[in-house]
Amino acid sequence: MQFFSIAKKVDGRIRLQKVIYILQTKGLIDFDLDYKYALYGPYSQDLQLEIDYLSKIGFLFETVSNNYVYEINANFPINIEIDKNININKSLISDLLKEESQLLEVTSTIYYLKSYHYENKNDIEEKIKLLKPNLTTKIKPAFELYSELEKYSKILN
Amino acid sequence: MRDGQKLFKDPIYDLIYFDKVKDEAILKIIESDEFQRLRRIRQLGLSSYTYSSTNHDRFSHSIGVCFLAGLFVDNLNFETSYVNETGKKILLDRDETKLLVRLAAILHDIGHGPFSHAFERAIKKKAEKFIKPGIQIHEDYSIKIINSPHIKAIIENIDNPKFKEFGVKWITDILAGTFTGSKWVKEIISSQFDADRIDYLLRDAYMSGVKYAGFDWNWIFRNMFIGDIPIGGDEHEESTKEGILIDGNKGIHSLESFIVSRYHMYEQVYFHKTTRGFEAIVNSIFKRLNFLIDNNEITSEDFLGDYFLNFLKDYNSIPDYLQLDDYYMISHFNHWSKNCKDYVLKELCNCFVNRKPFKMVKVITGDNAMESLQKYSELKDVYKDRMKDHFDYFFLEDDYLNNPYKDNYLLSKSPGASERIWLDIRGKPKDLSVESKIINSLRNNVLEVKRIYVHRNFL
Repeated sequence: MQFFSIAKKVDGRIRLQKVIYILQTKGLIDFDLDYKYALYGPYSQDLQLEIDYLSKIGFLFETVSNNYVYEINANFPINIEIDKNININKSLISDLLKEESQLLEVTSTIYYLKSYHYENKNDIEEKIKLLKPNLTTKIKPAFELYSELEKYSKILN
Repeated sequence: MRDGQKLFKDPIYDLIYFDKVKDEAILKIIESDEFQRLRRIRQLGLSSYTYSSTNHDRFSHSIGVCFLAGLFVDNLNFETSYVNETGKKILLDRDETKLLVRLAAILHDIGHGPFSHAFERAIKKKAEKFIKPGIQIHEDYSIKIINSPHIKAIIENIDNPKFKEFGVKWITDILAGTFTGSKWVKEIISSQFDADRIDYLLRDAYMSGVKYAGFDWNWIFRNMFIGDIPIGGDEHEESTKEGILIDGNKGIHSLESFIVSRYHMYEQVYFHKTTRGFEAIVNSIFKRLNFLIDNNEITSEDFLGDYFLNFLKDYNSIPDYLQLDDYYMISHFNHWSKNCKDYVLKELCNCFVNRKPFKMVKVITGDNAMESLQKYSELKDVYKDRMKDHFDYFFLEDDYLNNPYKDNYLLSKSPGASERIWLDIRGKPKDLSVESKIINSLRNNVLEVKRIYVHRNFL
């Protein structure tokens, strides 16, 4: 709920999944979700369940055209307190949500592989070429985005 | 007994057998201390508080999954599978594919801790300082144990150059979901219809006595094959990949039974209010333990041996982690229920050891969520005032999302591309949840969202 109170609207499930994954992995958002590696990178079934639930109770509006679009219901009757830690990263959330979803997919894959003990940049790059042969052009910009994100230090205890 | 075979009697499959030559590595893994430890970890954590016979262990489950994984391979139509490595495509024949899948299967739960998922939930927050966030803790430990010298050596000593060079990597990739080979190989271990799920459903139903959770898995196996399934949508172009399909005409009813079984088990066993209440108590025990350790109010003299305290101080310590099992934990809780200076820890352990459940005072459902959220706030205020400093330990919440046994396929409204079960209907792949009215009606039913439990002394 707090994430959407900042984001207001998210265009695409892949974008939503990857942005939250990156923020959680960096410790920049206090979420407790588990992820598995699926077709399009790190994926949390719990997150999708939570989105479905928020749509069901009317906190979010879900529309489906080419993508799934989730938009906050400004008239939802319960006020959500914004956690001060999420508020600090408001601009980062906004910037990440503007990124191309395929770039986010590859960037989150970098984080995922590092979580699973791939440390060497060359190994990660080679693995991504095998995992995502159709997204090899995104590898270099993904590493650049990764380097930018590494500048954000962990702010949660 | 036939020469050359190692046999396990099993209540689900009657007989599970391993070839002493072909399955030598699997048998060595079974004999290892790391795997034998799974005899001391119950599959269903704390379900025995509700269903007293659910004392089956991760050991028998892992052997069952290994057996089923082999049957998957036996029933699928392929000459070779493949694995892509940098600069090359490695082909595996049927025997090699079967060995790879069975190795991944036998090792898939090796990293589980005491009380299975209840322990994981209890240590999650603290452990995430040591383990990368977002990964399930037991999966991280599984990968670490597979890469530990003993288990790694077993795999690297397989008399096959492909396994010598890539065996450990392929197994950890399958478990991590990053396997870059035939997609259906990974699906056998992790998908909506996989060996793990089939075994635990059958085993858990049998041991708990839930008689209406059964399905004809053998018939489904007879009617499945490898074919093209659609992927894409969700910001990607639509395409296809090889995956497992089931003959829609012959297999749909058995698959429906499979999903209905999942529904029954979820409602009756995995989300049972009493079991979940005790898991919340375990969570609270660990919370209090961490508080006492951080404030130096508990020392090594309060523990039975060093392993538990060492682990709580360093979640990366695999040797200490491997000493933790259900018996070791229960011994500590029993000890503290009688010999502990801290009232909160003593009382929580007493409730656990002597089966004194907390009272469930509030349920928030999917339908009355908004109204209940406001009442929940009021309830919290009442108990904060009543419990004072003990509130954090005696006012417990269980969220359906925290339930590691929850069934995402049933609970979700809109599955991702890789979460579907595919039927073949007259040569075309069709999503089971679309083709079957029964499954369609079962899905997207989040009946209970949150439960509140309080210690009975504060009612």
